[in-house]
Amino acid sequence: MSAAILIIAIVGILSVLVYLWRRRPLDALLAAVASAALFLLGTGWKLPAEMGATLAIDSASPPVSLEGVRALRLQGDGLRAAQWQDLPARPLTWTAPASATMRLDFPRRLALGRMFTLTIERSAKAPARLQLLAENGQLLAEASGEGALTVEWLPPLAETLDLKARLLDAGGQPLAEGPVPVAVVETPPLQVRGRFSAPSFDLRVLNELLANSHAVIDWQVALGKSLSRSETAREKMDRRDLLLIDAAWFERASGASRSALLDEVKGGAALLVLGANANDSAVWSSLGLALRAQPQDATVGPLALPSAPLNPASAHAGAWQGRDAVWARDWGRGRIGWLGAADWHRQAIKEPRALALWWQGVLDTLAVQRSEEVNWLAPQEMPLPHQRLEVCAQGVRGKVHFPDLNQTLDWQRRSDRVDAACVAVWPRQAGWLRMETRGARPVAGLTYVYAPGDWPLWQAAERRDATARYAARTPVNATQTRGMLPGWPFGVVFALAMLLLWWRERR
Amino acid sequence: MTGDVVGTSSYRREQGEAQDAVPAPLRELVTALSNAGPLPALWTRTAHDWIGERLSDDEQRLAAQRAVQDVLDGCMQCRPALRAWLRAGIAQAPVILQATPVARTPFTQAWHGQAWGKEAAK
Repeated sequence: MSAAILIIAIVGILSVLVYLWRRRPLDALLAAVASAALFLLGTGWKLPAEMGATLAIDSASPPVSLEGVRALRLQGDGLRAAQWQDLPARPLTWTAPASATMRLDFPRRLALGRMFTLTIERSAKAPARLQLLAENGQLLAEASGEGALTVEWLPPLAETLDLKARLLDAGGQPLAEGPVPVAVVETPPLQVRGRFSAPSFDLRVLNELLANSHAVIDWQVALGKSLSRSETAREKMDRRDLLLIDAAWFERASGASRSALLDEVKGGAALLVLGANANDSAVWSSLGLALRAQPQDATVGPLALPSAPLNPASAHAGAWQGRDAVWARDWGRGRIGWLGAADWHRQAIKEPRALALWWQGVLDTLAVQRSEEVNWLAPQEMPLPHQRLEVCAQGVRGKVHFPDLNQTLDWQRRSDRVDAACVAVWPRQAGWLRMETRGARPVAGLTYVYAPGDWPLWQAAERRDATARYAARTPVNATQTRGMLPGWPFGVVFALAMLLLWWRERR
Repeated sequence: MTGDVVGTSSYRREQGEAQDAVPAPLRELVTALSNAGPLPALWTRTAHDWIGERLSDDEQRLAAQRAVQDVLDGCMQCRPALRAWLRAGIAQAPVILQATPVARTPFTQAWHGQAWGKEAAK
């Protein structure tokens, strides 16, 4: 309470007491009224919350409009993100329930040959077992432990998979079970050009790995000054996804050859240098790569491979960023990578899958990329029947057709999606929903619509997240935005009471 | 003295085709089973041969053969289960080295162009 309010209160009480002592009750009443009016004018009292238009939201039947509603009150998990987006921002009184939730994380679309990873994050910390099941109930992968659980599985065919996940407690009782839909798609083969100054077992194993991945390979290994071993691509290479060289090739190459190679990278190619036979660190400094001699017994990466004789001294070396034995940097519109490991051929028999996965990691670190005309974006929340579903994609224009809904819609630009376009549909039933862009080269996509009873704890988590985001749009609690009592009537009452007192004193 | 190994000579060969772990008819069958459309001709033979050859467990083989019969009888809901049994016969799925697909949009192109312009100006 400020000093002025305190003085008003003290003066008011004293005035009332003086009038009462002088046996003038009517004047005491006028003094009390004047003091109270001035007090309320000064303090600015707020209306009780109940007097404002506060709407209690029922999660089962969200309001269509908030016209005349000043604030919202909510119990439970709240609404879905699509439902909140339809409502204007209002202060929300809501406490997130403390009951258990879970969140599933997995790719809805996966390239054939990539590892499928499913992670369940739980709010409960008790030990549990996660099982990934095929459509016939066969166990594909299993993991157990506390907290978040992750299972991995490598799909062998390109198809739409209706897998299931089951979470069991320590006693084997099911805690949750539901569908895990994923579309496995084939991707065009990698196109690789390799130029090497010397043969090695490592090169042979790498060539086999690429060949088993159906890569289109243009491979040339120098055996001597005038001897070489060449393998020409089985089909015409319209683009080069990956350029491979060994360090010795670059060190011995002429200035013109190096410039031509770097220009190709600058144009958008990815170049990987196998650093195992590097000899001259001065050559590499022109690329901003400061190499240091490594101890003979040094190992790098998750496979603990022997380190190359020359490697950058640290994970972050100027423009070069290192991870898992690969240091990479942007070069124009392309990338250059330095592979600082050797003797991976020893893993080819012992751990062939681990070696292949490590090589895929190397390519991902190098950011070997392939342009895709259309990129379907995964829905931001679980699609449900009769609920609005936002279908978004990059690289689309014109129209999109939904055969299952017999609908053709125009792609709409969205301010919150920088370079994607979206349409809204209301799926009719659970299952795969097909869509296809219209145009000269139609591109098909798939999204899975869950049944209303699928993964209730995941749905609860999504609703809570969406409700928290909505509450953050107006970060003021509803109780803090109650209406203020208007000040002018108190001013008038104070003035009238004082005038009456003055008139009575003058009489 | 050329430094070349005595008795060796340069050679040039064309890249061969890699072997598929999964026969083409089976791949076609699984793709057809993913949809509600018609199945390839002689698909039951393909399925029975694969199941008989690859599923060694008697119980699993019988269940898989029941699934074949169910699909043959027109059961659409049984197609995913049959796909799963056919898939179960594949010993080990290969890791396929590949590029990461990215959408080249005007925004990403402008972003990369600007980033390279800044770097080149340094």
